Amino acid sequence: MSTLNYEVADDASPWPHRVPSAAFTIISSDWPTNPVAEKSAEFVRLADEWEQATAGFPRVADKINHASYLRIIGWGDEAIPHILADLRDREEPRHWFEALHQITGANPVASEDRGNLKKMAEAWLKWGRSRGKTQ
Amino acid sequence: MGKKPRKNTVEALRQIRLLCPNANDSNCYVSSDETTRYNCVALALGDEMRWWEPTPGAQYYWPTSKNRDYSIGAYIAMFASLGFVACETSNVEDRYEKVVIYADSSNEFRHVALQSRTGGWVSKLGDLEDVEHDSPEVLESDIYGTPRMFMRRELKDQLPLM
Repeated sequence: MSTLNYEVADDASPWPHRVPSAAFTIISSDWPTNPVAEKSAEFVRLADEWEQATAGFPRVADKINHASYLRIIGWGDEAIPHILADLRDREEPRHWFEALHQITGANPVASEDRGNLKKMAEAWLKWGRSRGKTQ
Repeated sequence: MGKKPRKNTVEALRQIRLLCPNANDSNCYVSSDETTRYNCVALALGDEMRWWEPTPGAQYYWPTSKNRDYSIGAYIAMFASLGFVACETSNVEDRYEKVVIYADSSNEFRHVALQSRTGGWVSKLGDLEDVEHDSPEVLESDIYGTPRMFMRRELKDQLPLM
């Protein structure tokens, strides 16, 4: 269990009603001691930041040079379950294929499926499941 | 999870203007929902199921093992392999379909747009929507490059996509 003392000053209140000065104690059973949840949250933050910044870029080559994307690649093997979960859960896959290739050196996408992002995602998910890399 | 169709075209245009400052609501119109299913090259070639790009990891579709790079020459060669030849103007020609290839100052490919039958242009903007734009220059920008080469092919020469 973790506690955090948090003071709110009257003048800093963003709410329309004034909040009296007081010391609050926030109590949580899993904050901030759950590293898996923290890593997942960090992945979501970086992935969304990357997508927001590069969605309109016409080339994957430019999308994958974004700092947030490179940071996820820098996690190495630790990134793989997060990336595979993202590929599994989204209706339309995002461009994680170069990250997976750079981290693993593998390319499980059959030549006839290249460019079809759903089939590319399926190939990587199959690859991940066969190696116990999925969440 | 996953993207939902974005109905708010005002918001879409705001995002497009961040990429292409020349675009505005009188010269650029959103004409689809956003999708990662295909890219500008695929749209120009009538393929809405694949993303065509010669990425280093060779996971995306590229029709040839030769000229597998981002130079404008490699893209011109790829379009030529599908029946396109260079042409001088952006005028509409009845028996032809026409594309315009954009490149940056390093002669790297950035974008391609397809001419519509009315003389306007159609582009897929990365993972975002398709847009119709009045001229190639509407999309001219640091990210999309500059219109550099017009190519055309006779409609009868259209090859089936593999």
